[in-house]
Amino acid sequence: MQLNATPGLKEINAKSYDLAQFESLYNAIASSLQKYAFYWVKDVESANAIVNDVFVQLWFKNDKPDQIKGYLYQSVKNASLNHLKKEKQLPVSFIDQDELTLIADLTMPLSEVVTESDKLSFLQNTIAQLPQRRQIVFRMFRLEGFSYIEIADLLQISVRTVEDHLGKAMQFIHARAKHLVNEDVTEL
Amino acid sequence: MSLVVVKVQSGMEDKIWNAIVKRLTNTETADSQSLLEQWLTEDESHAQGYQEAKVVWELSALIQPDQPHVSFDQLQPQLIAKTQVKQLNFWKYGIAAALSAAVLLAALFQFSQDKKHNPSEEWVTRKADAGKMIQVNLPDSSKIWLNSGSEIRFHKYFSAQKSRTVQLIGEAYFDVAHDEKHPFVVESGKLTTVVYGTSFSIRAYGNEMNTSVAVNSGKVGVLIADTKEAKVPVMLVANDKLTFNRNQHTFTKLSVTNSEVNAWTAGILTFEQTPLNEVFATISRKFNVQVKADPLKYQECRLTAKFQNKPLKEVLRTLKMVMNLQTKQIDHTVYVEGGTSCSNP
Repeated sequence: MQLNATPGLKEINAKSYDLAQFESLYNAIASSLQKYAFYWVKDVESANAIVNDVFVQLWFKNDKPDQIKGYLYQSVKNASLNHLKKEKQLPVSFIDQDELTLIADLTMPLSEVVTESDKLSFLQNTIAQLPQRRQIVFRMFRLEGFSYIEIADLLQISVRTVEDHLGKAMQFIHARAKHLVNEDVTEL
Repeated sequence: MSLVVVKVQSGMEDKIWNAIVKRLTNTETADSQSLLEQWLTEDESHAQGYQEAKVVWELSALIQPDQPHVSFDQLQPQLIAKTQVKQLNFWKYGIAAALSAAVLLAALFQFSQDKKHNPSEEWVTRKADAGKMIQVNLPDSSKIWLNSGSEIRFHKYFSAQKSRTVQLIGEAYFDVAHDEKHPFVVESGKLTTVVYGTSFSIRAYGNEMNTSVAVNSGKVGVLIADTKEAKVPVMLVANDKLTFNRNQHTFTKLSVTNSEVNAWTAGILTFEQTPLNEVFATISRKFNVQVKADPLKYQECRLTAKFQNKPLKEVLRTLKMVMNLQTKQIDHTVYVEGGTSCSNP
């Protein structure tokens, strides 16, 4: 089992790409960017539209950025803040959903969790139930591979808060997914 | 009192989890390290908890991205469709048209029925509304100038096709990027024009009898459906113009000057023995107005005139002078009456 992989993001740093590469880039990161845009604009439709526009712009950009991941996040951030400016809303107060946990129960019955891929999808479902902001932090760290400082900058929160989110996220995940750890996994 | 105790414990647990995560992410500090070490030795269950957390953390490195809310299929047409579309203000450029020697009125041609349209394929449409001329830059860096009331369609995977096929209704001027491996094909009614890199103009409005292809540079082949030229193309070189009469299924080939081919892209409106009803249709497209005239009354009338960036008022005044037509414009409608008899043109 290969650990510490950032799935789907390996091929992103190509300077130029064809449609197929662009599609895999999109599929690897669009969902995270949509969550990130939603973090700012608090509206699913607007968030989707922002991400859509950023990808269209990237496609037609003559000089492809070196750090596509960072570029995409920064572009989504700028577009989101512009959107808020247009809406004459200031991103000062977030609706704090941190203590609200998604109720949607996608978890499989424990008895069915047998194979490695079952474990992974159980874990994914658990992560999907994390409170929104915590989930973004967790995904940015684990899926996108951003550092604490980068996450703090992108979300405009302190590094300390990033740490808190990660700690609470692990606490949450551990409580729900610790049964995934059986003997043969522990031996890894 | 007990509430306070719970809070302290909860705060303690948060600190422990922060320390665990710091260890997992290799960002431990001296403080977090000593806190964690002490906690781990406190109880066996603590050590087990840390092990569980470690395994889950490592497993979490394998999580896959979620499905985007908007699928790539929805995004993709924009990657081709959003070729820069320059809107040209018509009034600024004046009136524009490169007219073929046109005859009579025509039935609408069934654009969609002519096509062997595969519903599983997706096409992108670009349209120049009445009063607008647009320039479309295709993904292969070919350029198309679309005249008013004209429309082109191309496959959303334009560059990935064996041939670069564009379907046209109306009038367009093409500047085609050279690519021998991918012939550029324009389908316009009965005419199919095959090119490899050249510039030419096609006029195929649904309500006009004639369809024409005029070449500015290079060489093109034109296939004419339902004639003996359906398989063997008529070859056209620079300054050639082919005009196809859809009613009679006949075509003529004649020489034009280079500037005639794309005069309309520069805002020049040319009529040459043009049936008046087609003149009205052209005016309607160019100036985004409705022209109300009795079609039967003017069907024998023809106009030869050239307008260089002239406003509608000027064009109507000329019609009055030349043909004694009385016109009255109310908002977006032009009413036409009177005129000399055209039975002996």
